[in-house]
Amino acid sequence: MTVLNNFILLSFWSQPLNILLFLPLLGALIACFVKGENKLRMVMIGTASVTFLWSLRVWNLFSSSNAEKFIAELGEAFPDPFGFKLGYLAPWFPEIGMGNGPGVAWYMGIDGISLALIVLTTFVSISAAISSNSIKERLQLYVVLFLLLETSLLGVLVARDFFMFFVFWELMLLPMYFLIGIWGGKNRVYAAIKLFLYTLAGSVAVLIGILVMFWASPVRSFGISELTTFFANNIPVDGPGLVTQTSLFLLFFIGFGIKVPIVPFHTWLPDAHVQAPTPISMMLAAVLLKMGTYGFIRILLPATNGAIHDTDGIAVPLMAIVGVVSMVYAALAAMAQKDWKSMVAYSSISHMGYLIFAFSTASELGLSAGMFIMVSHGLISACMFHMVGVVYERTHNRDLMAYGGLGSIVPKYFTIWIFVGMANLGLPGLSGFWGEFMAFVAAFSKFDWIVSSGIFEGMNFFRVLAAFGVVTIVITAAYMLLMIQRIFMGPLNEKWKDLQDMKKWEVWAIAPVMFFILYYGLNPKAMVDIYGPATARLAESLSYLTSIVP
Amino acid sequence: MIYLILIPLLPLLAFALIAPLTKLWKRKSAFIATAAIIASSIFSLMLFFEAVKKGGPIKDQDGSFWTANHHPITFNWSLPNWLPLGGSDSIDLSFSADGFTLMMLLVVTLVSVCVHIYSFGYMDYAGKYYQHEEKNLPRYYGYLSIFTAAMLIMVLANNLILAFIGWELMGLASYLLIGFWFDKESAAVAAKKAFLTTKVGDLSLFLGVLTLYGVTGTFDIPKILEFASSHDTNGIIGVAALLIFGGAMGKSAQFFLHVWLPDAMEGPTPASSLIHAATMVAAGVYLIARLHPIFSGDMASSVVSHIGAFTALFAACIAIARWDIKRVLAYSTISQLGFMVAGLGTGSVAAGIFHLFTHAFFKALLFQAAGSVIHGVHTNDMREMGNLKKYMPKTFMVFLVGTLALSGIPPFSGFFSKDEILLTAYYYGEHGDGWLPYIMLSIAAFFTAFYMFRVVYLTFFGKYRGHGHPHESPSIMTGPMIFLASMCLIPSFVGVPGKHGSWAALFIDPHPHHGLNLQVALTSTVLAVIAILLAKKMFLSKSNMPKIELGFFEEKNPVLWKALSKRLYVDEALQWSFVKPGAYLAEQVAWFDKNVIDGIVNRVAGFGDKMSSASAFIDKYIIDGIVNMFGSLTKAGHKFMKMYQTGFISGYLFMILIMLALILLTQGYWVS
Repeated sequence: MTVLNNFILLSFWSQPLNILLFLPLLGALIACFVKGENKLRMVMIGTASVTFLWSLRVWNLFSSSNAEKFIAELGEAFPDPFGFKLGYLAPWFPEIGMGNGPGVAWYMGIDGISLALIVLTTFVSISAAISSNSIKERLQLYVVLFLLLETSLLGVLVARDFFMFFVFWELMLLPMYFLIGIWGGKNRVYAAIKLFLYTLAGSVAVLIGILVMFWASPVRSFGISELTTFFANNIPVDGPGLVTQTSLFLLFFIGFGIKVPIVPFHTWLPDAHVQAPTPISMMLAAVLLKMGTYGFIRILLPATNGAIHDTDGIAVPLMAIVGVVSMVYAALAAMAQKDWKSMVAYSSISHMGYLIFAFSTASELGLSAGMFIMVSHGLISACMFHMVGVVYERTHNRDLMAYGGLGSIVPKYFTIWIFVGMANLGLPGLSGFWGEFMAFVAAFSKFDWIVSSGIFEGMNFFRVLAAFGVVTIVITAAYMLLMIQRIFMGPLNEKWKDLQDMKKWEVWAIAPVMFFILYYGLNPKAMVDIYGPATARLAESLSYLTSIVP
Repeated sequence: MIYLILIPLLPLLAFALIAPLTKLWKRKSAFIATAAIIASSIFSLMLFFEAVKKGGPIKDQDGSFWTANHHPITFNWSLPNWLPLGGSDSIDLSFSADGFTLMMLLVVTLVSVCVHIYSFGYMDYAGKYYQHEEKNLPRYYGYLSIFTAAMLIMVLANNLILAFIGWELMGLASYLLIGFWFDKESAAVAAKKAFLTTKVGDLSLFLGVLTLYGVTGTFDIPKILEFASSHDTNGIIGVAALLIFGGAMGKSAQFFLHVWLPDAMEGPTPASSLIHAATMVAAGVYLIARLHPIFSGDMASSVVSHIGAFTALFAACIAIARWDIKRVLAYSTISQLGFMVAGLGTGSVAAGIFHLFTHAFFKALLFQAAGSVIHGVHTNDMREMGNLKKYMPKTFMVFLVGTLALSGIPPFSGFFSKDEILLTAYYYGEHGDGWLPYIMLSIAAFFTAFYMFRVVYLTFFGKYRGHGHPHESPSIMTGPMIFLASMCLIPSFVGVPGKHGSWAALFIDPHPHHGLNLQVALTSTVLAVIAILLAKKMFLSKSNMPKIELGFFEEKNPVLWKALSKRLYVDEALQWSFVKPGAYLAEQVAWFDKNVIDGIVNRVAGFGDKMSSASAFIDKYIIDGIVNMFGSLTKAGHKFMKMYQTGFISGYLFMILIMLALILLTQGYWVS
């Protein structure tokens, strides 16, 4: 029972990442024994805030120089071979190692990529917790599930062991299922089951992929970096090895792709969003979707490096085309939505398309663009879902056509929507712009992919795709402005003439998020600096393989 | 050079001050915004004189002209590594200004100052809804500030990304100002239309910038220009140039992306005067001029010059048939932008840019005067005006000055700048590149004078046909107008053509220029005078007065009139070719998504459900059935056997006997 042995070790609890992981769980435990609505809310917001502060502490430790020291319960501290920091390894189920490796381990560590997402998660959680003011029923259960959700999200981000990763990856679904199924809208049961089953199907693909990698490796370890590096370096990129690489690519692509979601595996998302309560929509869009893209950058790209660099293979064209199709298709679908939340949900899918397109370039700039989009979309989508929720709480109407002329009735709300809407359509000066911009620049600086047949013969593959993709910018502008016009402009719909403007807490729930949308819009380097070294390192390891591909 | 960054920063700070405190500031916001822009204009002036001092007075080769650009003076301010692009590549936050930029800065800041002051009168006392305007002042001045900041960023930007950022932010400000009275449906629609139409252009611009990056590997304007000057500009650079021109077509309202500009007149008139007449719409022209070397390829230059000249003619035709005074001016703006673009396309940066400068002043003036008229008579419709020279003498005078400048009558500034464009177009034809631009521009010049004097005669002469009591505007409005009117004369004398072109031209572009060509200058002037006389004959003579309501052409040529008043159906064509198919496509995609993709998902789930039902059925009735069958069989056997367990000895004996008999019988059978 090595698991229990770990829990009584002092060194286990002195790990900053373990503390980060168990803080929300502790809050959930406290919430079990607390009575009274206000106290429960205090526990929820307090826990979210403390976790956020601790994540800042983690950031601080991350930046300090001695964080590279790697602590393993098995032996001496040693420098991390994969550039991770705050590493920690303790045996969990060593029996699986069969004496030929550590087996399943409680193996943690972060690099810039996970750090950026960890801080995003804890940060958005506070907003979602404040936004949960609108939840009135069965609050105790809600708080417990909400905090459990936060733990599982953080668990995915700190895990360096595939088993641990997978446990938290699945754990995420459980609170999500209940949060939508209990506090959701009219059709909540359908949406909850759809979310659960659909993403579970993706998990199966991921699990098979993990097992393929596990059995391919001679060392019985589940370490993510270990296995991906081994797989990328030792499975030859020609003959049967390429088939293995490509199959693995497809498994992960579909598995993580469902979570992202990519078109055509996206239909669970609009349903889930429409039915979910506002704060859960915020978590879903801002953080949960990022778990899929995190899987892309942490597992898919490093592991299937060979497939990605095979210029005759399907991996990169598939990824790039799916990215562009997602972006254009979902943007068009968003334009035709009559349901406000559904429109915002499709907008999320469209933005994830940018991200997949950026990742498909597998260049440093492309990875950087993808990371930027992840964080920035996390901030913006959280704001958008909160904003939809604000009026939905008052009117219980999500029909875009049912409003009109609200601008003069609720000026504060109008102003914030303009800000958020402009951020979403990628206005320069706000964070949404930079990710999209870098994605296209990455596509335009990719020289080694030439279309070999068809009407685009001889042209640069990525440029052709980018030229199609930029249309999304106009479509996005069109649906955002159409929404703003339908809701706020034109003559006032008399039905809403007594509509109340945003309350203080409703503004403050997202004010910090908006601040960072502006801040990273004006100072994009601040964001790139967080994950830059990690993406550069990853891109380097990716391009290292390019040179050995014949 | 710290002034350089302060110039765009001050209006931005003004916006940051005004935005969060809209409830508190009210009129104070106007003072903050105005103070910021005045400071910016002072800094611009200081830089300008610094440049003149450093660069000149330098005698030109023949000793006749001053120029600052023979030794290019540039001021730079840069914050390196704003956004790392991976590797050592990065985008810097860098601004720079040379002679040409400085003149642009002056124009933008001076016009902006005039508009800020004028707006205070217009918005405070004479807004659309006369009683509520004060509470809207902070919003209005906030938008103006962000616009000015964006424009200045765009002008000063030293790399294309920064320019693009300024460019997009201008689009935002334009959107907000057109939709300023957003509870009016038409304003809301116009704002959206403007944003989206220019966004289509921006897309093209973005692709152009990316293509340039793909070719040159940099976003820095000087490096790109250096690259262009040492490479062939007909190939991929020409393509990039055309893509960038697509952006300019959107912003500078060239045919067929011009449709948003007339509708943009839904915004407050002073904003129209600043954004949709003097500065923002000229940004496209400015961008082409800034990147001029990449446009030097044959394909690029001929596309640019022809589209420009065609736009000039096309918009001038439509302007003839407008009744709304602001709409006439809007089409006039499109037409004049066409002149500038044609000037650039035919090869003279100086001509295009000089016209941009003069136009900025006289068109801002005309808009402000029109605003003053609207303020006085409370309508845009010229059919309800007339004889306003009696009621609004100052407005009449400045409007006349602006009109003369626009019509190209010497000695007003428009004459010199327009003449220079006609001249380059003339030489363009003479070089064998085609006479079409020159011909179209000349006809456009004729129409320009015609439609402008139509406005003058309909508005200021004849009999008053309105209902209210027209009155002159307050001096806070007339003051800026008088200043702008004086600016219609002052640039003239830097624009007097000499042997090597005008002083202004040399400041912009040090390369040798064409001198005065009397033939071209006389032709254009004579054409303009004829147009004025024609307009006078048509719109002033007493006998024609009643016909004004019907429209002069309406009677004589109803088909043409209808086509012109329907704006030559461009809006409808775009509506049917892009907007409606786009919306239709979106509907179809949504349908497909809901019914096909999600349909498949639900079918798969349904199939799983059916499978599980089937499996449950099999489980219940077949697998478990078999198990139960054994049970039942046993039970049945047991029941059967039970029948024989009667408990009577005789019965058992009987059974034994039968069994014995059977055994014996079968034994016998087997034995035998």
